[in-house]
Amino acid sequence: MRLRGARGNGRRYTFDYWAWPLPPPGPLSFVCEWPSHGVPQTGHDVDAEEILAASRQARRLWGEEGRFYASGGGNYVILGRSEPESSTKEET
Amino acid sequence: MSFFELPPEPESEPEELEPLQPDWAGPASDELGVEVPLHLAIGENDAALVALQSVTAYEHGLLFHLAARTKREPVEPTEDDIGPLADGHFAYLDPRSPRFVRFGVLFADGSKVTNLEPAPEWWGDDPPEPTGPVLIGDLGSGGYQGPGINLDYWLWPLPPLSRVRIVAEWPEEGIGESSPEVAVAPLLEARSRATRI
Repeated sequence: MRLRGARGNGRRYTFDYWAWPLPPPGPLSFVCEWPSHGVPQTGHDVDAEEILAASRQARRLWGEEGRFYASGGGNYVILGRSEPESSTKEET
Repeated sequence: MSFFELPPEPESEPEELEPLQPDWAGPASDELGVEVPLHLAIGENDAALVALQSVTAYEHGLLFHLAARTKREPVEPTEDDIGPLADGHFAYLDPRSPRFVRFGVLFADGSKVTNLEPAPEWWGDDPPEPTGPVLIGDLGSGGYQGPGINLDYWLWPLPPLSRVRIVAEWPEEGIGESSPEVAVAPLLEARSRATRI
């Protein structure tokens, strides 16, 4: 299971996780816990067939040999993780 | 009594609460929207595609989940592609750049809103409400890690009529302007199931 993206504004967060492989047929449990906000461990079962059916509708765009690429960063570009240059300069 | 009297705890500054986001500016933080899968290819060719994967319906607006995919190897944007700096960490692609994934909504009455226009900003309590529809990109979506580009756009207000056209164009990848229709009723039905926390 791998975190693919997370964003939020302090009051609202969105996470995307990639899980592999597909689940086997039958009940599938999703479990969460958020200790800092007092949410105890809670789980719910869903029928994995709903997910497997959706997976069968996924469309391979360019055949088995095709690879997916992002082109040029979408509509935003991540410039880097360092602090902005202005914050390291002394103000005059 | 000890010779040394410790100074009292400094009075803490009253915590300044951030103003609540107005209804028009994005999904409410105390609302769980309902996602409607669409799996709709808006425009495509043999090497690229722009698709509307799903829409999440909220009480006051819709969040569109777009996917852009290309078969080509990634090329770093040039200075000409990049617009003004956002905050030192992010830069917006210049909407005039052919790399920019253009997206918009055409309403049944002929009015439209696109991601080429700067989204209205807000600050403080009770900011003025925009006079027309807004389409606001979710900063944080649209990065270029991972396989492809996923972009989220918030539309406010809810479409007033039964159908809208979703319009996309990606010049760099040879995807011309395409505008399939989307029925609004299933989105409004989903909205009725959104829950306030």
